[in-house]
Amino acid sequence: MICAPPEKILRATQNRPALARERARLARAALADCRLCAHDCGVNRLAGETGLCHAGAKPRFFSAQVEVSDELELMPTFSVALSGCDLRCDFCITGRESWNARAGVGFEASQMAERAKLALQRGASTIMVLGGEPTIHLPSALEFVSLLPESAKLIWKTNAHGTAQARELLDGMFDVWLADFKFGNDGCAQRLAKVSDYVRVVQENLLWANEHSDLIVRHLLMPGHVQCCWRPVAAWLAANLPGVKVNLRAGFWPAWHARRHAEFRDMLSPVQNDFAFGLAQELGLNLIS
Amino acid sequence: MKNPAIKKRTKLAEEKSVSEILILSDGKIFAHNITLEMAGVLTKLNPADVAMSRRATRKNFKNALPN
Repeated sequence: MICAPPEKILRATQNRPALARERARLARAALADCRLCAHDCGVNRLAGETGLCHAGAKPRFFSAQVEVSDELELMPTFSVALSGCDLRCDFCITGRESWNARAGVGFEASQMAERAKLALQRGASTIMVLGGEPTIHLPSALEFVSLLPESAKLIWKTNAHGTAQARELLDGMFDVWLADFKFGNDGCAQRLAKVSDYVRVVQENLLWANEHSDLIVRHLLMPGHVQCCWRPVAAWLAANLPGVKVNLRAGFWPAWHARRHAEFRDMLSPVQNDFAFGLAQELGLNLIS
Repeated sequence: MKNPAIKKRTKLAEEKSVSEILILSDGKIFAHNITLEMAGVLTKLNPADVAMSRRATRKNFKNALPN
């Protein structure tokens, strides 16, 4: 008898609300020596210290609404954007709020859960937690999860710059990881987002996410970065995560501090766009929209 | 006396939603944080955009509330 290989478990853990409550407690305690993201600051956020993300112990949010701009299979999604981020992408489309953890209004998990549940009742398919970067607000994000129906499909939209500690706390909490792989080399990551050791950290997170949830990888095509960033990202995905869903996004616009960089003074050209999608096809990537 | 549940729902629904669009001089339009209503507007601007049309007409969704 030939047995088929076991299917990957895509559903989040059963009894998620209770588990999320416990994880939220652990995550809150971890803020005393914060190493949730790979900057590994080790500051005591419970005592008012802040690391590179400048986030305190209590998150704020700058957007919470039903949207239809994400992947078709996820929408309509009730999307909650927490303020602050551990990266400093000069081209960030929500730079004002993502660079400022004090932007927006105070996040109360119970109030937000009520809004999310109402959105689900009215037909939203999913609930998405994003930022900025939600990893830096893991305690409150998990508290939010603990108050949501177990049957809700939850999306974790992340820059994939978390640590093993963060991943352990997130295990089984979200059905889908929607993760960015922005830069194909550490030089571009350092210059454009002020982050070191980027590629290794993201790859580690993507490999883990693929084993522990459904994974969608996003890459935003940037003018002048198709060869140095998209090509290596595409090649790595083809070799290491064959068949993974990839959303190759061509909607770059010169937001926030993008004009600090000469290559971002132009939009993505049709030639770059066509080359990028052709490369994806050539490598057999599983493109979704 | 008002029903507290209705009052609560009204408060929730009063929250505002935000989308952003960028229109280039060549007429290209970029958008993010697209709500159902914004998808409807974008579809009217460019009815040939099938992808946006699919977003604007996502079935089984009563309306974009609560925002």
